[in-house]
Amino acid sequence: MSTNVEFAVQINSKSGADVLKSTLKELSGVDNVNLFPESGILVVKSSLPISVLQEKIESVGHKVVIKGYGGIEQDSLQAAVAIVGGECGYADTKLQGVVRFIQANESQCIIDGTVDGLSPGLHGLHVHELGDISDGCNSVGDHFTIINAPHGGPENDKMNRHTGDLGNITVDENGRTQFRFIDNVLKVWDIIGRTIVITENADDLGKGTNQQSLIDGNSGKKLGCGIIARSAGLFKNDKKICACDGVSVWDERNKPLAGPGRKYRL
Amino acid sequence: MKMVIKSSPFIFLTLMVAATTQEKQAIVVLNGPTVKGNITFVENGNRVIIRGKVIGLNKGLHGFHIHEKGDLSNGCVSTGSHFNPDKKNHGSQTDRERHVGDLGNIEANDQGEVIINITDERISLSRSKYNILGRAVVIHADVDDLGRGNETDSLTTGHAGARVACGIIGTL
Repeated sequence: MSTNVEFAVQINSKSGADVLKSTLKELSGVDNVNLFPESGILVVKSSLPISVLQEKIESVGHKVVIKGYGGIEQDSLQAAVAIVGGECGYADTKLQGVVRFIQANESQCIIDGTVDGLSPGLHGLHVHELGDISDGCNSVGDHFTIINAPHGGPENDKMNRHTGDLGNITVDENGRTQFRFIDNVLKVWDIIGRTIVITENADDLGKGTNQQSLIDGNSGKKLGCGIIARSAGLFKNDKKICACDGVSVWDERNKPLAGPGRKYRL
Repeated sequence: MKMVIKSSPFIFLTLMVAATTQEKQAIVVLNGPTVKGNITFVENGNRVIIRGKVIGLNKGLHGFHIHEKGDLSNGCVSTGSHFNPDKKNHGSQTDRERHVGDLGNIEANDQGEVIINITDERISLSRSKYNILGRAVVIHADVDDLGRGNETDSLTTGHAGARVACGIIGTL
């Protein structure tokens, strides 16, 4: 299942635009590339993780910012994003990442993310019921579930897993993971304001031998978490500059979220 | 008779639990470099009671708003504008003409602390069009002119200046 991602890109020349288009079209997993140089909007239809596209665009010398994303059907879609660690989420370690959720249609939710700072191997990924990080990742409650079911894996039907059971993510030897998968149980509208959590250990998907396996898959400590927030669908965010302090979409990439670094109007 | 006496506290407790779980609540944790605080939102009928404490602000008034998106992945730009489902102009919390996300100003004391206690009838934790879950709370450096200033951005942002703290509204 492909999705559209809308980027703002800085295009300086016709040849730069052509190189960008051909570079993206050559990537396996990219179905279509639409570039509107006058407005600096690039729409890529693909089945690749968003961060892979982002890196590719930057590799040919363009600054890029994600503006919106959605399924192939234009309307009625919802998009959400969670920042794990950093200033808005919480993490004990240097872990930092972004997880995006795209409701492609009534049944399929695409989960797309990049996380850095994890140990190589498998780590559990779950949606927890509360969006409360007042005590870090300890106050986010249990695995989110609509049906009172035991813990399970994402391949299980909805009667045999928590709604928020997303299984494991695989981290490479550099401590990074880039993933994109489809879940048929989780819906974006049910998880807005809840929390995504990444755990220390692998999730045994409820197949373990102890009681804990049916609660959290023995996935251990919560290493990092982030509140699942509403984000813009395709072409839904036309904001290019912060009305409040004049920071533009480009400056924003390098600015702290709030505080002294933003004090001065540009 | 004995049975009734024994079971009544249990029934009472069950009712209490049912009542508290129906009341919708949300929380935002502000964890900026200098400004910190927790703010809770409790829905009671058509009203939402906003309570909390924020520390680390400069003395005086600061604009206090809810933005449309809680997406902080590209800072202020990705949070969109003030939450404004009815397409109105910016105003004060008590104005008819206001954004749903316009919660006016909060005032910090000499110590830079604010105790927030606001009741609002526009924001909601249950009516989908006005639901604030997953959106962002932003506290500004300057006073919100409540749409009454003559600045170019008075009717959009209240000319409240840079942001000093922001956080995502989560389910509680």
